[in-house]
Amino acid sequence: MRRNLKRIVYGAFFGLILVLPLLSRNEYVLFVMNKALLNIIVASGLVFLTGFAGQISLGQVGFVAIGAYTSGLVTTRLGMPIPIGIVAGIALSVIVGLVVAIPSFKLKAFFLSLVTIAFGQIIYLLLVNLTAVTGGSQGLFNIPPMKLSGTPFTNTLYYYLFLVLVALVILLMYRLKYSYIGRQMFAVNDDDVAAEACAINSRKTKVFAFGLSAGLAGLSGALTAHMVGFLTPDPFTFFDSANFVAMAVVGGLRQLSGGVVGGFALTWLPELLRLKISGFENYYLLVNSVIVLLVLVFLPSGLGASLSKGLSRLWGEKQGAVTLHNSKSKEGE
Amino acid sequence: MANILETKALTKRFGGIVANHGINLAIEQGKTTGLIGPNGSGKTTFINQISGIFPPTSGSILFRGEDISRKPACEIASMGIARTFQRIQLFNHLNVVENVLVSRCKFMSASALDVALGTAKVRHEEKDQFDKAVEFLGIVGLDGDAWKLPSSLPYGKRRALEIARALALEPSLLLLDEPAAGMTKEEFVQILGIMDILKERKVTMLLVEHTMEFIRRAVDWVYVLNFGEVIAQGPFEEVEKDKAVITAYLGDEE
Repeated sequence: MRRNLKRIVYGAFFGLILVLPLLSRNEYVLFVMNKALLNIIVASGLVFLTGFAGQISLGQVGFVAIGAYTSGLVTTRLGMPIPIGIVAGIALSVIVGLVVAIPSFKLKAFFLSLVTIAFGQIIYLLLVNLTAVTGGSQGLFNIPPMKLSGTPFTNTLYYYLFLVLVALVILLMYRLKYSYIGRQMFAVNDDDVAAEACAINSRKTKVFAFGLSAGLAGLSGALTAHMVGFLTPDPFTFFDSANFVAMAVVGGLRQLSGGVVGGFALTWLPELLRLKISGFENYYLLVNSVIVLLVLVFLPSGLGASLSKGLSRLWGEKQGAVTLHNSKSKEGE
Repeated sequence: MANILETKALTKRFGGIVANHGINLAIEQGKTTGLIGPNGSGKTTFINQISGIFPPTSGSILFRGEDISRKPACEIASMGIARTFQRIQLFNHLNVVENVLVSRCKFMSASALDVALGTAKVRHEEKDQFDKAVEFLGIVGLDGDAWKLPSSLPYGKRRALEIARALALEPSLLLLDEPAAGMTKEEFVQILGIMDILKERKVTMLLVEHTMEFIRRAVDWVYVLNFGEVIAQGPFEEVEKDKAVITAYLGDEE
């Protein structure tokens, strides 16, 4: 009975996601949905980095920018095909991510966040001032859109592409979490001295987490570049990095669903506030921040955590271990 | 029997404080070696150097003849030196069996790519290691608590879990930093039981401890530290009669 309920709820949810473009012909809705999906990719990377491995990045938008500009430049200046641009964007983000991981060997919490803020700031300043390469504040234009047999992607096509990518990202995160790799991340997060004493190389673990989260941010950036068609430094400020962290935290840092819920919620919230409350345009960001604050105060483990707790109760399931599947916990009881 | 570990003139300074001064110590294979001394005599500093938490200022640590004094902690653990901590250090967000599974990571040969693709190899290895972890929990009598969080366990069981986690590395040398500290009478009896099991399994141990009753029962050979230097060594019955030891340590307690 409860099993069926679970099937119905999940079926309805995934069904709705799949047919959404058919329900709404509104291009604006689809565009915001696409933005949400791209943000989910970045926020999921932060859930992995911060929630699982315990490392902080307040400069994550730097990796998004590297992915975006690399793919933009490779496809315009070098005239390479888009897939090559995207792979190059991811690759460069990962490489820079591995370097940014180095300070995390010695630095923790507050000091590490300062380093990552500086990193984000450096990338932003390069975007603005390296005019010859990036186009400076004028921006980088005529980035080719993705094409299907000659015609550019519509928002609907982007939606389905991003949906598949988000699904793959979640699958990857799921497999990593419920494996020895996830266990290493959580161990280093809890106590890196004890983890080292258990033969876990905490440096490698941190490098892996930074590399993965940077790669996801780079992927998101590269996709953005081709969806939007032009790039300026504007969306790559410290505020945007902080917003990505807010998504991960609001969604739930230790939750696989954290990036999804947070990315979705914090992409739509400002849009809804802007739309619904006319004459309120100047204050919608303020209200947005207040709502984020309230979530953090009253649901410190995040919306995703509350959601999965509520759902588990609905199906009558027990919450399992962190890195082991629920089925095993039932065997164990 | 050969020595599994030897330190040669091991010295550690923290600024002006000499925490360990020229320590020459040998641990015989298959035996339990004790390390005692008053508070602040440098026992934990010694263990921290052997396990690679920090490097020595000078001197060397030979593990099976190889100098490990500059190796990182994870490599030393991987080579076969496991430890517990004076103040219990468990992974509090992972449950009991997951804590032990952390030590089994080094036995996994599946790569990150295997994990990402969810290959059969990963599934088999994860299953095997899970069964192993439960076995190690069984050794210390925690197999019934596998799905609890460490914070929900009583103090004695948390100690036992830390020992199980160290054993799961299948170490050739186990460093125990005050395993009986702060225990109740019942917990004390339990931990003595675990020590007997370890001895039966011929685990080589270095035991830092304050409880003399524990040391008397557990060790084959004991070193006494005072102000960072070895002032005596020998079987416990001899050392406890040593004048220097009584003055430095036992004398204080009388």
